[in-house]
Amino acid sequence: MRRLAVLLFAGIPSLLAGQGFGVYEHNACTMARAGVAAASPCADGSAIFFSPAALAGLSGIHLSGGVTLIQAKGGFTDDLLQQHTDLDNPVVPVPNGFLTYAVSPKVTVGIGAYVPYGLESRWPTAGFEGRFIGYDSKLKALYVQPTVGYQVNDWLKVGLGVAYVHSTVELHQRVDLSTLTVPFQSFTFAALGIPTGTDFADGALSASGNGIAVNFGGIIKVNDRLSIGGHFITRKTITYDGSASFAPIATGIKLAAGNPLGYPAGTLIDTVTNFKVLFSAGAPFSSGNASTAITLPDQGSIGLAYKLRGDWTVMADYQGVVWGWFNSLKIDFNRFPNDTLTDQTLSPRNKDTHGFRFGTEYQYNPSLTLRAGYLVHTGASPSDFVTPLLPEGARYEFTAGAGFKLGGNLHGDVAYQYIQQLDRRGRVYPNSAVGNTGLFTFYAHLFGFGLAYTF
Amino acid sequence: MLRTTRVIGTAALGILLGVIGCHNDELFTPGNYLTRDPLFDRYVSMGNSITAGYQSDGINDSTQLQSYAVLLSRQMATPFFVPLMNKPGCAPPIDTVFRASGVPHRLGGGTSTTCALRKAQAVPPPYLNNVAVPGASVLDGTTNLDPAAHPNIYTTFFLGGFTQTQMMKIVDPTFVTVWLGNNDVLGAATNAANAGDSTKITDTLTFAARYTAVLDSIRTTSARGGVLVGVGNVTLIPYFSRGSTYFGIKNTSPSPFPSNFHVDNSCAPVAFGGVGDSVLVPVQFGLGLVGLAQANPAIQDTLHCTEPQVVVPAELRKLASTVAGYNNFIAAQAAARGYAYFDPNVLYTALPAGSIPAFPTTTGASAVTAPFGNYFSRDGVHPTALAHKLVANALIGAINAKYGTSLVTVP
Repeated sequence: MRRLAVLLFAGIPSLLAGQGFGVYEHNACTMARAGVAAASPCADGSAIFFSPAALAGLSGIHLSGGVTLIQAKGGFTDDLLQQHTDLDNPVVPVPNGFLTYAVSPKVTVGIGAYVPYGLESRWPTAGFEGRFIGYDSKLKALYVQPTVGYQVNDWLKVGLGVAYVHSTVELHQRVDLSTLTVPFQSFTFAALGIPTGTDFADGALSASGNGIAVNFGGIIKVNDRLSIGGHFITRKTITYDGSASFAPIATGIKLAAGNPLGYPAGTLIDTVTNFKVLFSAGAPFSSGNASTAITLPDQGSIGLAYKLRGDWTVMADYQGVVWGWFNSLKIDFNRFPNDTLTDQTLSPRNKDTHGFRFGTEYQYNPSLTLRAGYLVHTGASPSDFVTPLLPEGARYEFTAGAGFKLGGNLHGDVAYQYIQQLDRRGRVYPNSAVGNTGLFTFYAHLFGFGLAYTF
Repeated sequence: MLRTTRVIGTAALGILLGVIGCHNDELFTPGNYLTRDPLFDRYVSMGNSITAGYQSDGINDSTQLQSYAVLLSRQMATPFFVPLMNKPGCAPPIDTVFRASGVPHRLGGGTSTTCALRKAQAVPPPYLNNVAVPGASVLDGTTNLDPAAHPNIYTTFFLGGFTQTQMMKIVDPTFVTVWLGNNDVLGAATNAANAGDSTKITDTLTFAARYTAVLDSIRTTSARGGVLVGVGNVTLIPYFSRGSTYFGIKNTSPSPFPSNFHVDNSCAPVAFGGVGDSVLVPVQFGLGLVGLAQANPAIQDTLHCTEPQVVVPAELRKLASTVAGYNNFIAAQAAARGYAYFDPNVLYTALPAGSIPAFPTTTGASAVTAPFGNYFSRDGVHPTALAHKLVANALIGAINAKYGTSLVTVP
């Protein structure tokens, strides 16, 4: 059991690769067959996430680990100027690891680490209108899940896991001077002529939180060819506590003579006392504690696996994610008693999503297994909340991959996945009255690698 | 087994087709922009008070939207963002010029220092297309901080900390109109202490260097076309009346001028031994004297056509020759750089006789509605909405002729 500790490595970032900000690529073998695993997951311990019941009957000790590299591409083109801004996401590695141990022929236990929710949306700040909503958003939710699978009888397996969730969130956004109220006045700086889109401060929120979720499921073996299975992970609302900071950004604006602020010609607006006070203690852009809460929603899948021949299996899953729970996001500043100066509430009002996954696996020879798949799913974001934070929508995806015997008890898997999201109109201005002003595009290449060792 | 496979395959395909029945969204081009010539994808207008939509010594969102630049953008079917000012204005436009008190009445009862600030638009302009600033000279096109520039409250209200050329570059226009230069002579002509003060005229060489700087900045953008608008002959505006007009009115029987207001013989026409034909009397000065006499029957007040507050013949010639010099340069630059050129002074001559009143209407209904005629607003300097339409249509003609486009005139 000491080996279990090996698995508790950090589950690092991921990004929008699944429905909403979900991630489903936790294992190269499963990824190659489009994530279809509810009835017949790969025999490498990844069932801990995909279908806990399948742990039952897994003999010996299985240790597997891998990484999925996600290269997301996309951009935003605005309607009026036809100006295009490319998404600036780096290649993001998403690791995973699973360990199982057969306690008895009927009982297998295991522990897995995976990241079912995560996103990273990074945009350049120069010239991108959406930077005032968010230009670098990261959410990671690492699940570390001890699990037990039990073979009830010849045709029924059940499984249950309890996941400890550690999640972090980082939000970065710029503050537009034109939208701020002039200190001690009732009008905004826009009323004095400060242009829309004048960067004035850079805001950053960094926070983390923990929680517990439950993952359970069952598999019914209908006959030697057909199995039906499913699993369900409960939702968890994570309360994130952390800090927020604001750094002033030089606007570079020099006031002309006769300006309505009454300052001498050539006065740099950043040096004006009224502006400096905005960053002082107790002011709207002072740094300090902040909190927020995000619901990591319920999700589940149900599917079947059918053996066409001894060496060829076809599979299909339906996957649903109850994104409707993610309908409000309040960033609550707590820098001083009763601080509401810069509280923000976003209302994503997400929709539940539905995904259909189709996969196949063919045993080419004892050393080589070929896999392929296709999936489609709906988008979580409603048409009035497609933003730079999560420019997400319906997608179709193709997968392919293979498994190799590498010698002895070592097995390797590789997988490729192409994601194409349907282009979505969205908005880049904080003022929702402006509405959608352009088109978000998105596609991604995913490369999965995994090693599994059977003791 | 084959049958089972087919059933599963058909079911799977059915689900698939149902799910992917959605489709890509598309970039949205508003319906009224669909007919746009690519030349006009992004239009920026540079200029001064006329282009900004200043009227009747004030400006607000209504007058701004009457600007020829706005009219032109509509005919181009191109998005056009304007730095709109709240009503009643900044300052509120004059709605009644001639009143017993001698103080014009402004919209909403404000004064010349009233300012209702920039308008909070439901859709904040992401950039500005009309970057014109009232009071701007050519130098103000490229700098707000030069000691010789003329920044004012509008420089900040309209452009924040930017210059006209800086704001233009943000838009990266495909088409530009430039109507700058009037204030390089107008300030001299309307100078209260010494109307026509030649020292306040930007000399032609300096003007050329500053104008070139503006045009060079346009060259750094994607602009593929434009119109350079010449400088208006400021001596033709109804803000000025001839000294001979005052002389004629005074010597009409019965004269509407009070008996204690006199017009010196220097204001007589040349044929009668004076220079009044070649002297311009600013309305504020001339009618100011009349008002003073009316209010003080005991005093005797006389308009002399040699005093500093009027534009004397030498100054008039200087103003006219300067404008001609400016326009020669602008026309040459337009030709050299492939832009259209339009001389606004042709509009003066094309107007029906009497369109520009020789003397403002100070009594009756017209004194309120159109004291300076139908083409000039209640300050005698800035064009009315009707005149803006004339300008827009004239520019449309120039653009179509130069670029082979088919912009439709404003009805």
